[in-house]
Amino acid sequence: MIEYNRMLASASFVGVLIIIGLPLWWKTTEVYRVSLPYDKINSFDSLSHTITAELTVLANDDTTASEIANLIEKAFQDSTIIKLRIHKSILSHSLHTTLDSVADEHEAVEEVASHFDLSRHNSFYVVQRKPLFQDVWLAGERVMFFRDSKASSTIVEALKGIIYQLSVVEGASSESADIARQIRFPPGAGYHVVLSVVHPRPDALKVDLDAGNAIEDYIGSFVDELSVLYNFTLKSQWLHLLNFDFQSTEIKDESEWGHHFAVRQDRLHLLLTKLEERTATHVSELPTINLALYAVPCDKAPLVIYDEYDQKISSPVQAFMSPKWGGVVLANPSPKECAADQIFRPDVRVIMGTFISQLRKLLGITDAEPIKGLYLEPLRSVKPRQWEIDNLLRIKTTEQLTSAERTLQSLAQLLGEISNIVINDEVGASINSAVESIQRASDLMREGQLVNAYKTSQNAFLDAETAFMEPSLLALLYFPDDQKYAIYIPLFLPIMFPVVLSLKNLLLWFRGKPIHKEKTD
Amino acid sequence: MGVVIKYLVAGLVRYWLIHLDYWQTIANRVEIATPLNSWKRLMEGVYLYDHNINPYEGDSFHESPIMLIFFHFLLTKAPIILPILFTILDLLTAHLLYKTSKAFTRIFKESQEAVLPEVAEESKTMLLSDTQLKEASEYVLSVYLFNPYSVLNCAGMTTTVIQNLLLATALWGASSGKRIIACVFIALATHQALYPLLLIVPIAILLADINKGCNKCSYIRTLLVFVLSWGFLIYLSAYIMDGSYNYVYNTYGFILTVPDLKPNIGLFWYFFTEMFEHFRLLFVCAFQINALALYIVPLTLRFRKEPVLLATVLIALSTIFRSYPCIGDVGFYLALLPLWKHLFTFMQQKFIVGCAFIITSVLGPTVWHLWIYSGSANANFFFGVTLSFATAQIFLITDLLFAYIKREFTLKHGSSRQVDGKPAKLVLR
Amino acid sequence: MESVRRLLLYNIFFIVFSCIHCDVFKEELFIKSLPPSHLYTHFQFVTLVNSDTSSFHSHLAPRSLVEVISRFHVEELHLTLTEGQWRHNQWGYPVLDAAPGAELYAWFSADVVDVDIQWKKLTSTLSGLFCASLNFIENFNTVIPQMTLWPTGAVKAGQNVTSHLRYASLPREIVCTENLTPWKKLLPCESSKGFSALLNSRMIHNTNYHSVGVHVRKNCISNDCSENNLEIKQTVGLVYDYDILTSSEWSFRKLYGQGLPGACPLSSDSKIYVDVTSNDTQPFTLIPPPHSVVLSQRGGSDVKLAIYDVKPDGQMINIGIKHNRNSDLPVPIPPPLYFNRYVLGYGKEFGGIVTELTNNCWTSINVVVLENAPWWLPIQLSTLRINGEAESSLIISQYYSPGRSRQKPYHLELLMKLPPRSTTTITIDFEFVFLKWQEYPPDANHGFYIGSALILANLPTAKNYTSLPNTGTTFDSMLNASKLWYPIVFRTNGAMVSLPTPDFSMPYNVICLACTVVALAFGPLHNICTKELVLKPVGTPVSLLQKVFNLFKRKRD
Repeated sequence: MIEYNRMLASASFVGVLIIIGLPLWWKTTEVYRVSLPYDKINSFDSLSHTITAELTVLANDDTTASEIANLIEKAFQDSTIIKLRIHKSILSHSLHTTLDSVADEHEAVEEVASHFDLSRHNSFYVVQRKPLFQDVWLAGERVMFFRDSKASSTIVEALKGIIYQLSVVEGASSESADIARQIRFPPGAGYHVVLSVVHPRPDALKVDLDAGNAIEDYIGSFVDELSVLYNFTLKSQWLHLLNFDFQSTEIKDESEWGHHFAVRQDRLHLLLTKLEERTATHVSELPTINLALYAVPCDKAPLVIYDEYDQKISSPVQAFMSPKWGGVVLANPSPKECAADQIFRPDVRVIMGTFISQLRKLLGITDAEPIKGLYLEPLRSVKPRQWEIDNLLRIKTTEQLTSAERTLQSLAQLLGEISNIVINDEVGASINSAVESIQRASDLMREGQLVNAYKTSQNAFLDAETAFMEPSLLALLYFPDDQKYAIYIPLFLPIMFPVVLSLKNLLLWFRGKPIHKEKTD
Repeated sequence: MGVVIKYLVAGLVRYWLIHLDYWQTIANRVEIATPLNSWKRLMEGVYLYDHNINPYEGDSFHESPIMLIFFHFLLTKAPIILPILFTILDLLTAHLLYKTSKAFTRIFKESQEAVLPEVAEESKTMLLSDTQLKEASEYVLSVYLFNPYSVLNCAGMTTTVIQNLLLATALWGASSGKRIIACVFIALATHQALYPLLLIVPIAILLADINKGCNKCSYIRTLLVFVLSWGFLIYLSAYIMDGSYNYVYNTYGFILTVPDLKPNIGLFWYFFTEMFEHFRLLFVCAFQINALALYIVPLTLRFRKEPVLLATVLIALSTIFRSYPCIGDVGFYLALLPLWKHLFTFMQQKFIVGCAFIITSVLGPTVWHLWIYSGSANANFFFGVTLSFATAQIFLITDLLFAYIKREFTLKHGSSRQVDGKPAKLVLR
Repeated sequence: MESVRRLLLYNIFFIVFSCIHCDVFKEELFIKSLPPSHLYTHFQFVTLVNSDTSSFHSHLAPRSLVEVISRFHVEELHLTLTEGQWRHNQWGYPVLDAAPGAELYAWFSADVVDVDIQWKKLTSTLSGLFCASLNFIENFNTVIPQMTLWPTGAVKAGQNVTSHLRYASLPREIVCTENLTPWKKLLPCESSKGFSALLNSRMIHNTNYHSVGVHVRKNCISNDCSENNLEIKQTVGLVYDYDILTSSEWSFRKLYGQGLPGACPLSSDSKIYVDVTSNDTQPFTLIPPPHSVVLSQRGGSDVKLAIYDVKPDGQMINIGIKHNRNSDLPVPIPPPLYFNRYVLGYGKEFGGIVTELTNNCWTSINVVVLENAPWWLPIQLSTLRINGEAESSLIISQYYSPGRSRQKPYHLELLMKLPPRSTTTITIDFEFVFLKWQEYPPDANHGFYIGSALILANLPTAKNYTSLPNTGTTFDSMLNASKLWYPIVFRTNGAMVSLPTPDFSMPYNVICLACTVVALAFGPLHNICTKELVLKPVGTPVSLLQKVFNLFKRKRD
């Protein structure tokens, strides 16, 4: 009886310490880590995404159509990123005659638009039209006219280089950045576009410019077209008394000023440093594209930029651009304005036009090399071309998807290797949603639903960035394992020692065997 | 007659100390007043309640709402009687302990008679006589009335005075077989400080022993009454606070999670001052299990025949290992020790323990002053003194238990230490 | 001739120019000598932003600040960074009082649902904007003053402003060049022209008191306040010591290291006001002579101001004074209300805070005192004593919010009536909290700062009162602006306490020692419960294992 009590007491020690204590220790000192889909993340293959685009070839007869379609198909066979779904058909009789009879190309486009839906993203039409002066004609709508099948090679080159810009889209998913990616802004949820009017000498020269209206009118109408891609916020500010010494040398010439001031190209980036001090870029929560208009004071006007070979860059507008920061336009007043009433009215149209061309490059719309045989209608308004928007969608989708995948992979590697990092619920949710978005975006891309794929890939990118930048990941990073044992041992070792030893006795008693060996004499 | 004089002298000493100029110093000392029981915080809580501010919104007040109402009534209606009230309560505690010890001695006698057949012949002399047992009660009374720990505790006007009274009443109820009184008062004590929860076990055993009958039914009935009264008290407290149970975070939550690290005579404060955040929860749980759950079952199994010893040891262990101990608790269990003076001959470390008590009790205030006021010592000094005090108490209790089992052995087998004619020694195996 | 023509052009242009964009910028400087031997200069840069233009397009106003205000739906914002203590009993009252360290309070607009989240975002953003550690403002050091702070700008009628107010102060913050530079970037003229060119950080941080501030509020344009514009006011308050300047004849060169290089070309009004009231008793001459001298009678006190109207034509102005004769030191006249605050007690266990308010007026003044004690300094409301008595009749209304450790601070507000010609002492006790070892700052023995108390008073007279009236934006609104009473919010001095520190090198030692004691109890108790006593013959051969065990076990005899 007494022994029964003793064993029960021993068992209760064991019960409290091992059965309650061990799980308690495990639960209270575990690093809270939400389970992550590591296998899915590791199976991401950045190079296996494809975007399906629709292309319709409309010709006068079947042979032309087939020839063109086959040529295009062969040319796009080895492209890994863009897969074309080519439909070929013959022009209906009424459309054929209309196209042949209409004089102006733009009217022809309108005719085609009345028959087919040209506003659908990710679609393109290659239409034959006999009375063309060039082999191939291309403007702002999603339609390209060609004369006959002799223009097929031009068509293919135009499709590869201009319409679908294969090299740029492939460059968006590559490891290292190509030229286009180096220039354009990294992906984000939206952009702030800030127009800063730099006014170095408010006492000497007055600048009459309504910056707010200027940016809302011109750039506003440009970014409205891109509303499917991003939300742009337009802002403007004036930076007064920001004086920058261009170290320009005066050179006499034959212009109406009689002289000009030469600024070396390698001096220009220092202006950006001075501007950054005052543009307050860091206050915005989204990436900021800075457009700066520098009003050159009269005594230093006109400023002309000289390139690295000391050649004068003679263009009506002096401007330069810095990738990932924005663009600067140097606005020179005219000698009349300087002499008479000292009020400088900059030519808003020209300046905004320059800014828009800079903005196009910064956002990712690259101007391609001219192709022989192709007539590309120049831009007449601020609106970008429709197929440029499609292209931008494709580039951005690929870029965001690739970036999200890479971010998740490196994050998963980090979290897998270092077991100390706390993964809380928000990070887990972000990562899970990013993985889902990546898979869905990949599927949507393959199906050809470009706009949905873009939005999904943007969500994936933002979720991946959120998870990566989470500050709570750093908790407990630097608590070494061996010091944990130094904390547990003083209490638990002396207590576990007799308890574990008594386990042996407990087991023996349980089995009914005598605990202490009886000494036989 | 002598007894009455003792009461009078003890009462006068306490009353005089309360009216001393240095009373505030006594009431503020960390050994006497902890965040749980200090008079200052009680006043603050009552003042806030009086001014329609919820005292449980901040974290200065940690008493239960029943105490809040009780002292609010006293402080607003009759603040003048408070010193006398505390003195009388302490004297009442002493009286109840006296009566309890008398009842316990009666229980000893009965249990001694029960085991008489098993006693070895030569050990018959060790059996307790009536005079010895009567002396024990006298000593219990004297110790509680005059030991400096309880005197200072009462002089500091801490709520541990009330806690001791509730414990003493519960023990008296258990020893007289009055189930309702025992359970209600132990529920009140638990509601105030949580650790007296452990005492339900020895009280249940005592009640079952005294009320002869079916043991199991007695246990169940005791448990039921206890749970009902504790539940009723929790409900009543919430009712006082307009139906909200938020006060639980400030009372039980405070005792269990130990957020306030003010130094006291226990082990928790410095340990959790220097603990890394990541492990805090584990060690809080470990220490609370140590104080509450670890020893109750084994000790009960081992000392089921001796519920009074079980009660003494459990009170002592909960005092040593609780989160906010104070010397009032120490004084209480010291008063129960004279019941076991027949064990003192078997205890081996009386001198060391006694000296350690005296030295640490004197050294503590000294190094505290050096740390906090002179700025010449640091926290480690006070921590060392606290550790030594805790060690001394632990030695006292373990020594007491060893003495008990040795006496038990000697009673059964006699005092010869020989096996088959060869010299032998007692070992634990 | 050329300059006159330029001036004319400038004026004409500005009439045309200003209406196109409708942002107005004004800069002003106020100089006053403080008895006995100090000089007070107060810069004020005001930008009035027409709220017709959206917050996205800014002309003169700093875009960063306007964007922050609009993004977080802030109605009114006051931020000051101060170093030094203003001595109210000697120097009178400043134009804007500020608490030492960093002080930030803001009212959010009524449509904000979760004010605490917006507050945290606002403090983090402002911390980045001004290079100040405002990101240390959390819930545990923010209070919601109930009676002390009221908006100075336009507010919709019937709106509960108090629930959308947050106030926090960080007494430990230091103000230096790092804060002045981003502050100067917010000005339209930055620091090359105008009054801001005088703010040379090497000179202005060498003063007894310097305070840099940003105050944003909404102003009414029309009488019925249906239209309002945003007023952004940037202020710098400096107090110089003549002993450091080595002469009581000050000049711009001595104060700022250079003369004033003309006004900012963008400002519509650039004026310098010099207080020459003391010219009657300690005569001195202003060089160059002022453009005009006006007498302002305000609330029972006469003030004579010399006004300089500075033009942006680029001519360097160096204003200074020369004493006519060797004058004695002026005697400081105590202002109508001054105060003192200090910490009582010795040792690191208990203490008390005492605030003494002295009312020098012949009438009683109503004040609101806000005591903001941090969470580690628990104040006990039951120990509140006014002039030694507990439930004093001087208290008209009281608000107390108890604090919780690591969650919220202790907040006490008292609306009191100060009797005339008397000193009122407010005492409250506190005790020290023992913090966890990782909660101490790196230099734990430096001490912890207790912030200053706020005192809102409606003064009956305007003696020593230099603040602008509520409806005024520039200093000329101060002239002859007598009112029934003059509101001002004072900040008392802060205090410093030394908290008891544990030994920071001891974590593992403490763990080992405390666990040893616990194990000391466990071992014997485990043995007692699970083992029995038996007699074992001495001399039994013991195994090696047994010998090792015997080393740890106690032997029984």
